[in-house]
Amino acid sequence: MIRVENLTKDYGSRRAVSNLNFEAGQGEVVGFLGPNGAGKTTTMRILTGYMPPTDGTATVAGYDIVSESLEVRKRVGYLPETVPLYTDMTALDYLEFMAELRHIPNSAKHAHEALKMVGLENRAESYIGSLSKGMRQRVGLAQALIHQPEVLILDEPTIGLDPAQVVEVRNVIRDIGKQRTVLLSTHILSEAQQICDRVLIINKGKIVAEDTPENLQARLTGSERVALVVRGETDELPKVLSKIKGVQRVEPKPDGSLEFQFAPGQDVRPEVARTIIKSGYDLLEMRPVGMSLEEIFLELTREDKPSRRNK
Amino acid sequence: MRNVWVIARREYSRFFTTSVSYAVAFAILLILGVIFALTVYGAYQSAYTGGGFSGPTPAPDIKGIAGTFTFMLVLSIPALTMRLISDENRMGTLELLLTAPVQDWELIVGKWLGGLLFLFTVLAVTLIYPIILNIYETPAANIQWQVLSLIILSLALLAMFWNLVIGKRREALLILLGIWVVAIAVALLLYYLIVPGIDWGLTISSYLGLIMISAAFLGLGVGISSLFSNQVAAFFVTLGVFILFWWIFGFISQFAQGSASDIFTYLDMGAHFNNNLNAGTINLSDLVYYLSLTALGLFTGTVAVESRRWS
Repeated sequence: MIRVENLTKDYGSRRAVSNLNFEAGQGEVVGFLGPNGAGKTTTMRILTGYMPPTDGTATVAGYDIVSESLEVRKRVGYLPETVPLYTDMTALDYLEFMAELRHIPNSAKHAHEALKMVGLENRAESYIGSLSKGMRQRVGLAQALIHQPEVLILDEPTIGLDPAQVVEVRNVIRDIGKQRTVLLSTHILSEAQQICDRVLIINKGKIVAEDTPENLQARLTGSERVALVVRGETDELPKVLSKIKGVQRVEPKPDGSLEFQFAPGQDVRPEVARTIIKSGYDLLEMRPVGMSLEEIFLELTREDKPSRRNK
Repeated sequence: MRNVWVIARREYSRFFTTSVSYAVAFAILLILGVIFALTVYGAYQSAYTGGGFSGPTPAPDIKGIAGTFTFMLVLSIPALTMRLISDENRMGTLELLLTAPVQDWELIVGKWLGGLLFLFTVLAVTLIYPIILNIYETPAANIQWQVLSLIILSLALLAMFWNLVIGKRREALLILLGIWVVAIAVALLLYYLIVPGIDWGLTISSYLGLIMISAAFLGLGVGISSLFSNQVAAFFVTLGVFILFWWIFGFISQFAQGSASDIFTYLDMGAHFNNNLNAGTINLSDLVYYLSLTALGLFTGTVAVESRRWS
């Protein structure tokens, strides 16, 4: 498990991470979401013992990341953003080397198993330099998994993979996340939605939101949205609909559909449908629209736009 | 300590996959071969030409070869060490090693030991010169011993080749070790049973000096490499430091007065070798000098790697 308290990191005068607080428990997959330069990689590097924090503390797997760094490193599997590989080694040799560094007995067997986990057992003897980007990414992941770590920290684990591999890797991560702690960063919001139990949205070194993907959606919209598709001219329809009690913000969309909102618990949909039919329109479709994580993300990270010049 | 060996072994095998190390080995052995041939030819000429047979002549010894070797070390070790740490830094694999449960000093010492093992391999090949000199100076009746030792040397080279081609590194290293134990036993046998042969005492002393110089240069080279992320920069700074220690200090000591002269004489790396070790004298103070330079380089490297954690 991971516990972070008031973590701060300065690069010279620039504050990369500021007063970060979060926890990730056993059996939990936590997603780290944020734009480039938000401090995701820095936080991960601090947690894996690559660099110390300027201020604050963190414990990983029960050990302090500064004073017990070696114990932390034994228990963490880490896949950095730029996958660190020796291109002049074969995949198997590389994994054996990593296994030996981690003092795993029978390193060859474990290297084979790790390759199997990421679906590369048939490329074991290939030089890493000759592997495709997606395969290299998977070798890097195998390296992070080889010692069956208590805590797995993955910086952009699915970048560069083809869709089929993305699904595979996500399944691997989800499986691991059932018993262990996984912290992963990603740009892809749908990915966070799919595999993370909890999402931390981080911007300029600060956590701007923290919740389950579903709760984030509900919390940010505060109302339910519905899209309508109606045949024919709809110019007059917004006016008509606005008159219905409980309907808020009717907006025509560029594709010809309409969208409106209503407060949760005040379902006005039957009323809206009746009104449309009565007014002589043909109602073709009515469906709920959730605010996508993309929109939430933009919403949250846009707020402090004016302060961007401090960066 | 185990990590030191894991890293050293990997680094050693890596020398055989990069062309730089072959180029270095080629340059050293080519020039040594030419110098050796000229030494033997010169001795032959002075013995049998120029006014007929002129009695016993000074036998060619290993000094000339060893002296040339040190010159080659000054020029080639920077090429071997320049990438050791700086390349890890550039490829991002330093992040991998520093987030694995490896102490900073273990990484540095492992890299150094890997380089030293590579130079041992090159040094082992040059053992053919004293063996040939021994043939030259031993009565023809004992030629079978010399042939035996040449066979042993060939087997050793074969084992090294096996190491490269088949990749059974562990087995090849063991065979190499076994062959050299036999070879040393045979050499001792030659020394005690067969008169007169060459001066093996001087040979051992010279080789010890070469090992000491290699250790010191490699230590300094690893230390300097860890300060740079650019190989070329690391190469030239290393070369500059070597030239300073090998020639400039000795040069200054000739002009300096009193105790300053003593200090510069002591700092002169060449003097310790040329005046003592390559003249058949093994002094503890010379060994301490080389070992302290090695320690200085390794300490610099460790601090440089640690300092990444400070910033």
